Amino acid sequence: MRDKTILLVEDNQDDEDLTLRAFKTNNISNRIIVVRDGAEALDYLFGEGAYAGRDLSMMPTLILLDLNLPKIDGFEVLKRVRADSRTRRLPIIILTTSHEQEEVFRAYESGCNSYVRKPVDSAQFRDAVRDLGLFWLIHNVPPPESE
Amino acid sequence: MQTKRFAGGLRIALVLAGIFLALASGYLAGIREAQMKASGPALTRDLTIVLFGQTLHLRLSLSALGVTIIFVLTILLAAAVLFARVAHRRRRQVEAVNRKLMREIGERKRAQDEVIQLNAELEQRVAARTRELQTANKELEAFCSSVSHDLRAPLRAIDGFSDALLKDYHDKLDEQGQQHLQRVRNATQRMAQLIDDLLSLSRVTRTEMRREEVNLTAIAREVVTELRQIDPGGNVEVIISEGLVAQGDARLLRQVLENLLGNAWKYTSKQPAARIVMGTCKGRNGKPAFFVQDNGAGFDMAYASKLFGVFQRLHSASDFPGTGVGLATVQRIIHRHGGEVWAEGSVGQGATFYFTVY
Repeated sequence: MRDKTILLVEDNQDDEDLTLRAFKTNNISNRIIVVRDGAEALDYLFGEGAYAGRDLSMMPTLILLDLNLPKIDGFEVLKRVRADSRTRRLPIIILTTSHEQEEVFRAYESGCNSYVRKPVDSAQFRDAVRDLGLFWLIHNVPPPESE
Repeated sequence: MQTKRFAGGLRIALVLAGIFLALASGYLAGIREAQMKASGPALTRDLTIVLFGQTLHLRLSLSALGVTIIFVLTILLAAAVLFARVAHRRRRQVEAVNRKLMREIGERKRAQDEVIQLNAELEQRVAARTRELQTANKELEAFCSSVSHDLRAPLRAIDGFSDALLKDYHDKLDEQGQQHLQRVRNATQRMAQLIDDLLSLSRVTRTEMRREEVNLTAIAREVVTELRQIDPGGNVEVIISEGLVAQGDARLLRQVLENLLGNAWKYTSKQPAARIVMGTCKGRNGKPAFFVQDNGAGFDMAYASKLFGVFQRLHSASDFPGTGVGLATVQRIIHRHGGEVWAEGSVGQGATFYFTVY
């Protein structure tokens, strides 16, 4: 069984700490790889830049993607991940602050699997992270590793 | 004028004809005399003339025939001269009229060109304005998106780390310290709600309206179901009339009902026998209006004008939580539909909100 890792694309240190804390308090102990912007996320996924030579057979089970990101934003990351045969089937959950209709629409248009708004209330935030983890890491059947 | 000219022409023609006739007669008479002397009796010709349906048989001497021919030719010449003069006058008249027409056509063409140019300028101006508006709208969208992201993110950190303090350092904080942190968290929640409400208020004017027939009864029932799910403890009797239909934007009208029914639910929360009624009645101007009535806290009619202002509240947040944006949103949506919204109520006796949609 492959190691179920989570790729967290988050530029805000506070949000990163709160998300990791929420995983911890909910006893979700999967490996979490944190990248700080869209460019780093793409480097990780395609084994380029700082991640050159990474074993590309090890893809994250789940990508938690913020939309407002430096350099390359979440929409662009989505499009490029969906355009590449190595990553097009990876489950991507938008985990972001806004739920402006226009952004939700664009995110789904760009091919996200789910859109979750980070609640301001920390208890709700904890619950949201717990439910996400439960569903995507346990209940959801991931795409096969290779065709 | 024309008759006078014609008469002048005729006179000249007749004089000419006379002169020709006289000259010709003299000449021919000379010839005849010479012939008579040379060959005895004069040469004659038979001439048949059909005049006004009568056939005349004339035996004319050659010289008389010559005179007649010359006479006829003279008349024809005179007529031709006359015709030429009349035709010339006519042509000059037609030319004058043509010149006038050309001038008018020219003027008309100039006017038309001017209209075309003005239209083009107008179109350019409209296009420029539209571009400006689109830019302004885009900027507003970007602003709202930024507000939505950037104002909420720090709030989550404030709430999240206050919560972390409460949990991780529970035994290091006395009761007062814990209460302070709880207050920080409560204020954060209010701020988050306020941001959401303001964004939803601005969305009312930002989004395009799609008019269709909207089943208000169905939407109201869905909203009440949601309210019951959020607040299962509330014992509220809700009566919604059948067949409430309006022409408008379904999403926006849903927002109206969410606000009005949500308010009714909130302000009856302290009533032991809460009751909310939604239906239609005759409005202020005689046109049909929809109403949402409750038997809750009500309000003082003296402050009725303040109900629909942004951030205006008639109750303290400790009695009934709220941001004071909901009714402002309702009013904005109803005004966008060309309708009216107003309220009646009294303290402790409940409130009724009326709205029309056209």
